[in-house]
Amino acid sequence: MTDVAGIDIIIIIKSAILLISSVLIILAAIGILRYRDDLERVIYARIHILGIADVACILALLVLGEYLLAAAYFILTPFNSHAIANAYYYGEEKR
Amino acid sequence: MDILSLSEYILMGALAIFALATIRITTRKTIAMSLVGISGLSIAVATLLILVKDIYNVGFCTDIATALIVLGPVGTIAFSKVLKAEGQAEENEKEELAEGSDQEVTDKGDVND
Repeated sequence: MTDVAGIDIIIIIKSAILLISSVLIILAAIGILRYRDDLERVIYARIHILGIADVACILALLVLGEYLLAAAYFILTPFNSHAIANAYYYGEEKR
Repeated sequence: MDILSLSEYILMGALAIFALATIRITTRKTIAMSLVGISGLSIAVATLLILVKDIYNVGFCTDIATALIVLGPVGTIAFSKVLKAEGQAEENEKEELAEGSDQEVTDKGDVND
Protein backbone atom coordinates (compact mmCIF):
# COMPACT_ATOMS: atom_id res chain seq x y z
CA MET A 1 0.00 0.00 0.00
CA THR A 2 1.14 3.58 -0.66
CA ASP A 3 3.00 5.12 2.23
CA VAL A 4 2.98 8.75 3.34
CA ALA A 5 6.06 9.53 5.46
CA GLY A 6 6.43 5.85 6.28
CA ILE A 7 2.77 5.43 7.44
CA ASP A 8 0.17 3.41 5.55
CA ILE A 9 -2.39 5.68 3.83
CA ILE A 10 -5.32 3.59 5.11
CA ILE A 11 -4.13 4.12 8.69
CA ILE A 12 -3.98 7.87 8.06
CA ILE A 13 -7.52 7.94 6.63
CA LYS A 14 -8.83 5.86 9.56
CA SER A 15 -7.14 8.16 12.07
CA ALA A 16 -8.51 11.25 10.33
CA ILE A 17 -12.07 9.85 10.41
CA LEU A 18 -11.72 8.96 14.11
CA LEU A 19 -10.44 12.47 14.88
CA ILE A 20 -13.31 14.05 12.91
CA SER A 21 -15.74 11.85 14.86
CA SER A 22 -14.13 13.00 18.13
CA VAL A 23 -14.56 16.66 17.18
CA LEU A 24 -18.20 16.10 16.20
CA ILE A 25 -18.90 14.25 19.46
CA ILE A 26 -17.31 17.03 21.54
CA LEU A 27 -19.35 19.64 19.64
CA ALA A 28 -22.51 17.60 20.23
CA ALA A 29 -21.71 17.37 23.96
CA ILE A 30 -21.29 21.16 24.15
CA GLY A 31 -24.42 21.78 22.06
CA ILE A 32 -26.62 19.45 24.06
CA LEU A 33 -25.77 21.30 27.31
CA ARG A 34 -25.65 24.92 26.20
CA TYR A 35 -29.37 25.60 25.71
CA ARG A 36 -31.44 26.53 28.74
CA ASP A 37 -34.20 24.14 29.81
CA ASP A 38 -36.86 26.86 29.96
CA LEU A 39 -36.56 27.54 26.21
CA GLU A 40 -39.68 26.61 24.32
CA ARG A 41 -39.43 23.27 22.44
CA VAL A 42 -35.72 22.87 23.26
CA ILE A 43 -36.12 19.10 23.05
CA TYR A 44 -36.38 19.20 19.24
CA ALA A 45 -33.04 21.03 19.13
CA ARG A 46 -31.52 18.41 21.40
CA ILE A 47 -32.82 15.56 19.25
CA HIS A 48 -31.28 17.31 16.26
CA ILE A 49 -27.92 17.64 18.05
CA LEU A 50 -28.09 14.00 19.09
CA GLY A 51 -28.26 13.11 15.38
CA ILE A 52 -24.76 14.59 14.92
CA ALA A 53 -23.37 12.39 17.67
CA ASP A 54 -25.18 9.36 16.24
CA VAL A 55 -23.62 9.85 12.79
CA ALA A 56 -20.18 10.42 14.34
CA CYS A 57 -20.51 7.16 16.30
CA ILE A 58 -21.65 5.31 13.14
CA LEU A 59 -18.55 6.62 11.32
CA ALA A 60 -16.34 5.48 14.22
CA LEU A 61 -17.97 2.03 14.25
CA LEU A 62 -17.36 1.70 10.50
CA VAL A 63 -13.69 2.60 10.93
CA LEU A 64 -13.34 0.14 13.82
CA GLY A 65 -14.61 -2.68 11.59
CA GLU A 66 -18.07 -3.19 13.11
CA TYR A 67 -20.04 -2.88 9.89
CA LEU A 68 -23.11 -4.80 11.05
CA LEU A 69 -23.47 -2.74 14.22
CA ALA A 70 -23.05 0.49 12.25
CA ALA A 71 -25.70 -0.60 9.73
CA ALA A 72 -28.10 -1.67 12.49
CA TYR A 73 -27.74 1.64 14.29
CA PHE A 74 -27.98 3.58 11.00
CA ILE A 75 -31.37 1.95 10.41
CA LEU A 76 -32.63 2.23 14.00
CA THR A 77 -31.64 5.79 14.91
CA PRO A 78 -34.18 7.69 12.72
CA PHE A 79 -37.00 5.59 14.20
CA ASN A 80 -35.63 6.37 17.65
CA SER A 81 -35.50 10.14 17.12
CA HIS A 82 -38.93 10.17 15.49
CA ALA A 83 -40.44 8.17 18.36
CA ILE A 84 -39.10 10.62 20.96
CA ALA A 85 -40.26 13.70 19.04
CA ASN A 86 -43.67 12.15 18.35
CA ALA A 87 -44.14 11.15 21.98
CA TYR A 88 -43.17 14.63 23.16
CA TYR A 89 -45.56 16.28 20.68
CA TYR A 90 -48.56 14.14 21.62
CA GLY A 91 -47.59 13.43 25.23
CA GLU A 92 -45.89 16.27 27.05
CA GLU A 93 -46.17 19.35 24.86
CA LYS A 94 -49.98 19.30 24.80
CA ARG A 95 -50.31 19.08 28.61
CA MET B 1 2.45 5.06 20.02
CA ASP B 2 1.15 5.02 16.43
CA ILE B 3 -1.28 7.55 15.00
CA LEU B 4 -4.28 5.17 14.97
CA SER B 5 -3.95 4.32 18.67
CA LEU B 6 -3.61 8.02 19.48
CA SER B 7 -6.82 8.87 17.62
CA GLU B 8 -8.59 5.96 19.33
CA TYR B 9 -7.62 7.33 22.73
CA ILE B 10 -8.79 10.83 21.70
CA LEU B 11 -12.13 9.35 20.59
CA MET B 12 -12.38 7.54 23.91
CA GLY B 13 -11.96 10.84 25.77
CA ALA B 14 -14.53 12.56 23.56
CA LEU B 15 -17.02 9.75 24.16
CA ALA B 16 -16.46 9.95 27.93
CA ILE B 17 -17.22 13.69 27.86
CA PHE B 18 -20.30 13.07 25.72
CA ALA B 19 -21.47 10.33 28.10
CA LEU B 20 -21.22 12.78 31.03
CA ALA B 21 -23.20 15.39 29.05
CA THR B 22 -25.95 12.87 28.27
CA ILE B 23 -26.12 11.77 31.92
CA ARG B 24 -26.68 15.41 32.83
CA ILE B 25 -29.48 15.67 30.24
CA THR B 26 -31.04 12.44 31.55
CA THR B 27 -31.54 13.99 34.99
CA ARG B 28 -33.71 16.86 33.65
CA LYS B 29 -37.34 16.96 34.73
CA THR B 30 -39.26 15.91 31.58
CA ILE B 31 -39.51 12.30 30.45
CA ALA B 32 -38.73 13.11 26.82
CA MET B 33 -35.47 14.76 27.89
CA SER B 34 -34.53 11.61 29.78
CA LEU B 35 -35.23 9.56 26.65
CA VAL B 36 -32.91 11.81 24.63
CA GLY B 37 -30.22 11.42 27.28
CA ILE B 38 -30.51 7.66 27.49
CA SER B 39 -30.47 7.33 23.71
CA GLY B 40 -27.21 9.31 23.53
CA LEU B 41 -25.71 7.42 26.44
CA SER B 42 -26.42 4.02 24.90
CA ILE B 43 -24.63 4.80 21.61
CA ALA B 44 -21.73 6.48 23.46
CA VAL B 45 -21.20 3.46 25.72
CA ALA B 46 -21.55 1.03 22.81
CA THR B 47 -18.87 2.85 20.79
CA LEU B 48 -16.68 3.04 23.91
CA LEU B 49 -17.00 -0.74 24.36
CA ILE B 50 -16.01 -1.36 20.73
CA LEU B 51 -12.96 0.86 21.29
CA VAL B 52 -12.07 -1.10 24.44
CA LYS B 53 -12.34 -4.32 22.46
CA ASP B 54 -10.07 -2.88 19.77
CA ILE B 55 -7.42 -1.57 22.17
CA TYR B 56 -7.38 -4.18 24.95
CA ASN B 57 -8.73 -7.23 23.03
CA VAL B 58 -11.61 -7.89 25.42
CA GLY B 59 -13.86 -10.18 23.39
CA PHE B 60 -17.20 -9.94 25.21
CA CYS B 61 -17.36 -6.14 24.74
CA THR B 62 -18.79 -6.70 21.24
CA ASP B 63 -21.70 -8.71 22.66
CA ILE B 64 -22.55 -6.00 25.18
CA ALA B 65 -22.27 -3.31 22.49
CA THR B 66 -24.57 -5.30 20.19
CA ALA B 67 -27.14 -5.65 22.96
CA LEU B 68 -26.93 -1.91 23.72
CA ILE B 69 -27.26 -0.86 20.08
CA VAL B 70 -30.22 -3.12 19.37
CA LEU B 71 -32.08 -2.90 22.68
CA GLY B 72 -31.41 0.81 23.38
CA PRO B 73 -33.58 2.14 20.52
CA VAL B 74 -36.15 -0.65 21.04
CA GLY B 75 -36.59 0.40 24.69
CA THR B 76 -36.74 4.08 23.74
CA ILE B 77 -39.40 3.42 21.09
CA ALA B 78 -41.46 1.30 23.51
CA PHE B 79 -41.32 3.95 26.23
CA SER B 80 -42.19 6.66 23.70
CA LYS B 81 -45.32 4.71 22.73
CA VAL B 82 -46.38 4.57 26.40
CA LEU B 83 -45.71 8.29 26.84
CA LYS B 84 -47.73 9.14 23.72
CA ALA B 85 -50.65 6.90 24.74
CA GLU B 86 -50.66 8.44 28.22
CA GLY B 87 -50.73 11.97 26.77
CA GLN B 88 -53.53 11.13 24.38
CA ALA B 89 -55.62 9.49 27.14
CA GLU B 90 -55.18 12.60 29.28
CA GLU B 91 -56.24 14.79 26.36
CA ASN B 92 -59.34 12.65 25.69
CA GLU B 93 -60.25 12.87 29.38
CA LYS B 94 -59.99 16.67 29.24
CA GLU B 95 -62.16 16.77 26.09
CA GLU B 96 -64.80 14.57 27.73
CA LEU B 97 -64.82 16.80 30.81
CA ALA B 98 -65.16 19.89 28.62
CA GLU B 99 -68.04 18.28 26.69
CA GLY B 100 -69.73 17.30 29.97
CA SER B 101 -69.55 20.83 31.35
CA ASP B 102 -70.94 22.22 28.07
CA GLN B 103 -73.85 19.81 28.29
CA GLU B 104 -74.52 20.87 31.92
CA VAL B 105 -74.64 24.50 30.84
CA THR B 106 -77.17 23.71 28.05
CA ASP B 107 -79.26 21.58 30.46
CA LYS B 108 -79.41 24.46 32.94
CA GLY B 109 -80.43 26.76 30.10
CA ASP B 110 -83.30 24.41 29.26
CA VAL B 111 -84.50 24.40 32.90
CA ASN B 112 -84.46 28.20 33.00
CA ASP B 113 -86.51 28.32 29.81
